[in-house]
Amino acid sequence: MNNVDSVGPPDPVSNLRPIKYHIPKHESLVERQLRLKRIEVAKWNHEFWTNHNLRFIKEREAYKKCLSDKGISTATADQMSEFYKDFLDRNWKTHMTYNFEWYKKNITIVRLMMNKNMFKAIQWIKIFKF
Amino acid sequence: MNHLIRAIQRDGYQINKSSYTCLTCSFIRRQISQSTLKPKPLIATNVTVDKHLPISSVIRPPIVPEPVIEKNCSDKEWTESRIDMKDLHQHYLKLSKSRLTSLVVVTTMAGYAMAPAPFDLVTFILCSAGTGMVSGAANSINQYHEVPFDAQMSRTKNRLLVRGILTPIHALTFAAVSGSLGLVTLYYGVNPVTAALGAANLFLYTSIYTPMKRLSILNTWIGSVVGAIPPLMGWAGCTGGVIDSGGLLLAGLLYAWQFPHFNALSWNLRPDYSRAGYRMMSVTNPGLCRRTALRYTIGIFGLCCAAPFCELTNIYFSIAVSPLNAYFVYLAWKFHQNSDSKTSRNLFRFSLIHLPALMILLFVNKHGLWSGNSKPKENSEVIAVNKDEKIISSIFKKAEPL
Repeated sequence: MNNVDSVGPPDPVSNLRPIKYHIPKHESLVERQLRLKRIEVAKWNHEFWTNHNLRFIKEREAYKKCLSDKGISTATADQMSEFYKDFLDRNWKTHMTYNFEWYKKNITIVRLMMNKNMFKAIQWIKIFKF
Repeated sequence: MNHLIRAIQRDGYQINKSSYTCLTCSFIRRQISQSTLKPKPLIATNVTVDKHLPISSVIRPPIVPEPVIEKNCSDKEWTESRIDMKDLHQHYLKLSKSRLTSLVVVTTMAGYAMAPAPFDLVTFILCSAGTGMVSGAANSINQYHEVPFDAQMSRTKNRLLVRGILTPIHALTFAAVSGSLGLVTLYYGVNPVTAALGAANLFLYTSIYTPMKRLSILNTWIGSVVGAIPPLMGWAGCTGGVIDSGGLLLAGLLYAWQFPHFNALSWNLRPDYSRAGYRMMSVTNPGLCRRTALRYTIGIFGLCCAAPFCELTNIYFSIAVSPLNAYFVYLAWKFHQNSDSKTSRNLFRFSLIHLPALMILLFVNKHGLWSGNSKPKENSEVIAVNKDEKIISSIFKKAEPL
C-alpha cells in the first residue's frame, strides 16, 4: 500500500470492486479533484447496482413464491424467463438513464486524468530545466 | 463412387489428414476452454481418454485445484494496482481480446484469399495487421465503456478494467495508438476503401452497438453487421476497393453465422442479462431468438448453394459443404423445437467448428484455384472432392460425442 491505489474483492451484492485511492504527500489540486471525482463515481455506481440487484433478488423470490402458491414447486427455465423478460422491460428507462449518465461520468474521469498527466508533464519539464 | 474409393486408397488417405483434424481440434479446444458454458467436459474427456495410462493418476490432481486456488486469491484479497512492465504485453493482449481479434483477422484473411485479384503477400500482411490493430482498439474502447456492466456478469467479471489493473486512460491511450496505427496502415499500405470500412466498423462497434445493448433488441443485428465487415475489408484490400457479388456473399455468410452462434450462447446467460440490463433477444423475445437461429442456418445453406453462381467457388463447394450445413440446420431445428441448455450448447459448439471448416472448404474450392481460369482437370477435381469428404467426416467424428 505504498504509492499506488489498491483494489479489493468484488462486493457480494453490487459486484463492483472497491478501490482505496492512494493520497500522495503533497497532493496537488488536480490530483485531489480526480481522486474525489473517482470516489464520488464509485459510490454512485455502488449505490445503483446495490439497489438494482437487491430489487432483482427480492422480485425473483416474490415471483417464485407466487408460482409455488399456484402449486408449482420448482419453476422451469421457461417460467423463469417470463420473469426475466418482465424485469428487463420494467427497468428499461432506469438502465437507459444510468447508461448515459455513466458515460458522462466516465468521460469526466478521463478528462481529469488527462489534466493530471498534463500537470505532471509540466512539472517534469520544470525539473529538467534546472 | 468407385473412383472416389479408389482415389482414397491410392493417395487420398495420407493427404493432410492429421493437419486438418489438429487445426479444428485445437481451435475448438481453445474456444471451449474460454467459454464459461461448461469448462468441465474438457477435463473429463481428457481423463477418460487417459484412464488406461498409469501416469494419469499422477497428473490429474494438480490440474483441477490449481485454477480454483488462484481464483480464490484474486477474489478475496486487496491487491495493489501496480503494473509490472513484464506483464504489459499480456495486458494489452487481454485488452484487445486477442481471441476475438484473431478470429476477426482470420475472416479478413479469408476475404483476401477469396478475392479474384492476384495475391500480394505484402498487402496481405499489411491488411491483416491493420485490421487486427483496429479490432484491438475497438475492443479496448468497448471495455472502457462497459466496466460496471461487465462486473455484473460472470462471463466478463474478470476483465482488466473491472479488476482495476489498468486505468481507463491507459486503455484509451492504447486504443488511440493502436487504432490510428491500424487505420494509417490500412490507408497507406492497402487502400482508402479498406481504411474507410475499418473506421466505419470501429465507430459502429464502439458507439452504436455498445450502448444499444441496453436500449434495443436490434443490437444482435448491428453486432452481426460488425462481424460481417472484416471479410469485406480483406476483399477490398485484395481487389483495390472493388466489392462485387462474391465479397457480399462472403460477408453475408459471416453475417448469418452470428445468429445461431450468438443466440445459442446467450440462451444460457438469460438470468445474468436480465439483471445487468442487456436487452438480448434470448430474454426479450425467446421465440424470435429460436426462429432467427433456425432461419439464418437455412440462410447459410442457401448462400453456400449460391456461391458458385457468384464465381466465388466451384460447384463442388456447394456439394461438399451440404452435409456440414445440413447438420447445422438440424441442430438449429433441435434448438428451435426444444430449447434447453443441452441443445443450445450443442448448437454453440458446432458453430465453432462450422466456421473454420467453412473457411477451409471455401478456400480449397476457390473459383479457378486448381486450374487458372480454364476448366478444372479430371484429376484435381477428384482429389479436391476427396479432401473435402475427409474434412467433413473428421468433423462429424468430433462433433457427435459432444
